[in-house]
Amino acid sequence: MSKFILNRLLQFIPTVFGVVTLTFFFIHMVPGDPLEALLGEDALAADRAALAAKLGLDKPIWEQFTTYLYHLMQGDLGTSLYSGRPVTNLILERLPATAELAFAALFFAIVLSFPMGVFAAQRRKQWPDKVTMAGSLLGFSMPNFWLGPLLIMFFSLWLGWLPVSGRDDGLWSLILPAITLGTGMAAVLSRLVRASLLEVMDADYIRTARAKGVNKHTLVWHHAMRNALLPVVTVLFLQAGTLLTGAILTEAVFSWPGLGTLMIDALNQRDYAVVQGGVLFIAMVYLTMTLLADILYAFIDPRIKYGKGA
Amino acid sequence: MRMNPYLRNFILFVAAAFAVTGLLQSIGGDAFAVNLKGLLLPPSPENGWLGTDELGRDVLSRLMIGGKLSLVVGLSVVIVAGIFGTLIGLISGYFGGWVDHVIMRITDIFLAFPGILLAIAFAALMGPGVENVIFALCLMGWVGFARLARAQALSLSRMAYVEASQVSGMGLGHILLKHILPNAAAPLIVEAIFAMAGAMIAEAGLSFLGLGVQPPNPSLGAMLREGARYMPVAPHLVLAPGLLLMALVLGLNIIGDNLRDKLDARL
Repeated sequence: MSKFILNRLLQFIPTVFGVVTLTFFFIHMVPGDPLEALLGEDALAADRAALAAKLGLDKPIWEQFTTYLYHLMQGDLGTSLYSGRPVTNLILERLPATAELAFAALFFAIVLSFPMGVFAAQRRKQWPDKVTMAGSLLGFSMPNFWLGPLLIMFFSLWLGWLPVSGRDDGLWSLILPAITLGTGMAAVLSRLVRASLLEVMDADYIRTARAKGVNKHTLVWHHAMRNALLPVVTVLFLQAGTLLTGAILTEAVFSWPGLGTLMIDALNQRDYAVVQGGVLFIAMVYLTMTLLADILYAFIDPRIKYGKGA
Repeated sequence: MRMNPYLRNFILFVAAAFAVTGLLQSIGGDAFAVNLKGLLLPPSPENGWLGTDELGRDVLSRLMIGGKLSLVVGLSVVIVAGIFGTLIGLISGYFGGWVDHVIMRITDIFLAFPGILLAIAFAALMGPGVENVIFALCLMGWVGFARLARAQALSLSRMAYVEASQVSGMGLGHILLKHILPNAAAPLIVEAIFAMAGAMIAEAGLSFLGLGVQPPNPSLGAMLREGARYMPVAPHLVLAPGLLLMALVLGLNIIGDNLRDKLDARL
């Protein structure tokens, strides 16, 4: 077990370094002149020089990179070109709103997908299974930047039940964004719960339990679910990272004041420092989630410890 | 040459989608002509079937141009990222050892960016435009193919028939493309179908954020974004592009899903 975790941790380090390197070179991969992109074609030479010095672009690239790494280790993601404020602060200010949205979406997805998956698995290849799986395919194919406007149109404009956008009405304003963000995940999870449960239901110990006369409810929720949950839990962790990216589009639809709108505003203002910081932050959260998922999996499934750190 | 049955439905669907969008575009009006006397008209046969947008342009033909663009982007991404990723993956799995190790660590780095994050970052930096969107999506899409092809090559390279061709002195290209690839094709085709659906949603997402095709050229994502502003008075501007995108994506996902069920008969 500890060997597996150690292996996995050792693998984590070069990946983190690679991600940091890639994100750093983002800004240097801009075709043409980043200064021109920021200041426009007609900028004065003095302005260009001043900005280059401020961004450190006048130094050799390796020096820029080591400076970047040095700052990064102190939790410094740079300074916003637009507002002049530290990127780390900007991200931390917006994080609670995005976290709230992501957890609400996760909650919605779990509450919807587990009963759906179990329901479908118990009636394999019958019409309830087919309807549920078709519904999941539909949810999977529904872009969240379309589902969002549809929900707004129906629940906000026509029925007038829920706010159109923003985060000022507490729980009420959270409902539509959470459904929008959580639907795709519910679609993935419900299929996974179904597949995982079907696989476990074929196991010998389930047949034994059934032969002993255990009732259906206990069989599914107590005997089968425990083992069926293993892959589901892993995917939950992985999806949590994906939720952060999905939140970018969802936040754009609902003007939700989180990390996503921060990044979109930065994109429009060509504030590359904030974009770079945001991308790195989301990637790091996702990587950490992946690591936790693997370690958790090793804890709940003892068979893993014999595997090499793949 | 005999058509791979996995490929047939996919090709038929894409060809049909191109044909239908082309046909509907031809019955629509001018997609670019601004008509300030007929703004936001509701759908009806007199208003060019799907009505007009905020500049009085014909929605039906704009929609179909956007749909075709979405298909072209999806197909380009799958072809470019599919070929590149598959080759990288075959090499990785076939050689194993440090080659495999290095390639897999590189894919780890790309996999650390969830969803369309990498595409958003690159499209933002490279500026708008179809080519940049395709490049950004390829950058994100090749990894899935590489991982899958690697797993296939890893198991297939130990098969007796592959060893036989090694011993008889066949070249690397011949072994990879003629012996391993055909037997690894089925799951890769399924991946390609889902990847195309994913690329189409991603393209629309980038356009929705203003990072894709630029006005006045229509794209489904940009139409959704613009349409959302006029939702209370002209709901068709939001309904139409979303419905078309979902229909195309759903079609691909259904085909991919059926094929996957055939591959994995257990479930």
